[in-house]
Amino acid sequence: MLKNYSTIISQLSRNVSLKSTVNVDEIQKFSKMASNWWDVDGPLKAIHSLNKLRTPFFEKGIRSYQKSTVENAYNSQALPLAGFQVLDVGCGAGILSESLGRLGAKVTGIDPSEENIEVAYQHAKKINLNNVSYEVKTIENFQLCNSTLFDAVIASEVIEHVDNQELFIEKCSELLKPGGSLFITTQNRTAASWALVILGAEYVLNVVPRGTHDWKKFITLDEMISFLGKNNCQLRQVRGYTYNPLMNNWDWIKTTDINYALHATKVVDK
Amino acid sequence: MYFVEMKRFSLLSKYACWRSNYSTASRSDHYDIIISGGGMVGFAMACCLGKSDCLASKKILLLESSSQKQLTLASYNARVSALNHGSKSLLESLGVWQHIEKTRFASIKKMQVWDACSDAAITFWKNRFKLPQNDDELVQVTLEDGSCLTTDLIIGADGYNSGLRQNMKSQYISFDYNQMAVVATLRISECAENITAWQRFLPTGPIALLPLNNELSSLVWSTDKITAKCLLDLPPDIFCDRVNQALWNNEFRNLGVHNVSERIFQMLKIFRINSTEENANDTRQLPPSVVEIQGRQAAFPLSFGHSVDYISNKAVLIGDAAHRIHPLAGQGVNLGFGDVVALNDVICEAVNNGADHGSYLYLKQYQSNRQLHNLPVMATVHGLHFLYSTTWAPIVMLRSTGLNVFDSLSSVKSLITKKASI
Repeated sequence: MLKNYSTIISQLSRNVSLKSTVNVDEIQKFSKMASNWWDVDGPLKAIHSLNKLRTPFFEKGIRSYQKSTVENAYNSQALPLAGFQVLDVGCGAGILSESLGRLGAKVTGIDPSEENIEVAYQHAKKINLNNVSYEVKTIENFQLCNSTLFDAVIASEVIEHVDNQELFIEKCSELLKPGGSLFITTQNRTAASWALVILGAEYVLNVVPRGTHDWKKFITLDEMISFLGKNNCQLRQVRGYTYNPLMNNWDWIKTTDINYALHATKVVDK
Repeated sequence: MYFVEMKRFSLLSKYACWRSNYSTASRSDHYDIIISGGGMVGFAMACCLGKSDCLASKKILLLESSSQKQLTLASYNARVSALNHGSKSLLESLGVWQHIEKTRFASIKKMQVWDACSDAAITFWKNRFKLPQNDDELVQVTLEDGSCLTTDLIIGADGYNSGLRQNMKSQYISFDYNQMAVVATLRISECAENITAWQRFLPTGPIALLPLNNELSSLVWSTDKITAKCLLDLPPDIFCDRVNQALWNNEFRNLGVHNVSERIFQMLKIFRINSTEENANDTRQLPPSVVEIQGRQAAFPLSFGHSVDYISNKAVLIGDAAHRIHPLAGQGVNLGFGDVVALNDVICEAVNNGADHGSYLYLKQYQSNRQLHNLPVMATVHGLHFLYSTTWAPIVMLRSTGLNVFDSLSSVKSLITKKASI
């Protein structure tokens, strides 16, 4: 009886782990960095400077397919995202969440690492940013009670760190309102990205802590597009971008072989 | 080139008060941006930020320790500023230029050699700053009366003695030229159209006449400290004689050098390097002579200074607070206005990208842009000063022939002039 019970438990837990997007090693890796997250010259400085490139991409993307419920000229100038509900998946210490919050969006940041969320919460509190909130949640847990709630779901530099990537996309899609925007920025799995992201950034130039990325987990653009298609999302825009470690600067480039930023919208059911 | 009298900028202050999001008097404790120093550059900064739509919801404060000055047009002030086209377009975009045009300005059409003085007023800044170590803390400003303000970004436009710079503990490279600039407003004779800026390089330093209107010109005479003190004490008529002497006499002329440079000039003519359409303009005009002085002459010391860092966490320097140059090329305030435009751009970019408007990442962008622009200008001006302050024949010959050749290559010249006015 007891033996049977334990078999059931172990089977159950295997099932759970199969259905989870969480990679424990990855969470530990990022939790260790918690104290360095907000140092703009620290180990995560590239993520800070990436905001210059990605925030306008998200902001313009959201506004080009959806209209804010808050409509007035003043908002469109100073708070272009006022009235939009945005989910930042894998928010870390809230580097992107705060930027989106300053543009007026009501932002929820989720991250499975308690340490990261604590840093994020304290930082937003100190600078009086009231429209940004954080939760220690995995996407599959969060999705259970927040389905079709968000105007935009953003997973920026996250999907390459999760397990069960297709499930991850499915959950992202379920969280979106019909017509809502899904944004993903990530690394492509090509020879070029291996040479630049792993060899160049982590080993030669040491601009990213070693072991931050696992090349095998990168998703090619084709794989990504097929995931999106299966999950009711229509591709709207893909752009390639790259990092200049000497200037700590990101630029849009023509090829999507290294990194790509992608915008899809959830199909409205008829 | 345009010349504007310094007092013109009190217009700016009136303009600034019109805007509702402006506050120069109220004392609530937190401001998004505080500008310390209400000179030309500080006020231009305030107007520029105030006019930016993306900052419409921000509270901006300008602090100035001296009381508001009244604008009087009765007489010309001895201190004038030379503005290049970049500065002019900034003032146009701020809606200030039309006021300047209505009141008083003179344009210079003929020469690129000019001179003006940078803001020399010594500001005794009594406010104290406490700069934060971390990005989630605020800058604290304690005013003279003990009240305390906080801000996300402090902009130091408080002149070359900048209190903020001293607080930033930025390394400041400076030296004294051991020179003073003697300034005065002079009445000149026999001039149908007074549109040429005159500058003559004497071994003791450059002397320059800048047109104010058809009869009046402004004098900026850079010279060693002893001569300057003598000039200051001279009665009006003798002072005018000395100015004329400095403009006209040939006692410093080196005959050998003169011959060589004349030959090269002839040679250039033979090779027709001079473009034909500009030949008419190339004939040299004689400098005007000075009839009398209006008011009294004044003087201020000249020095060079450059702050190694323009920025620190939530603090940034603009204008003379960051860099100070010899006025011989009249670039001082133009560099400052250039800083204003560049800083406004990065602040707006930061806000549009959802970053904090005092974000170090964006301030760094301002610093590298401006140092890339300012340092070559400063080095050139300093180099010119060195080149023209010697009487050693080979160098005199070099600069004399150099000027002639440079003058002939009109395409090169216009390229450089264009560059200088950006």
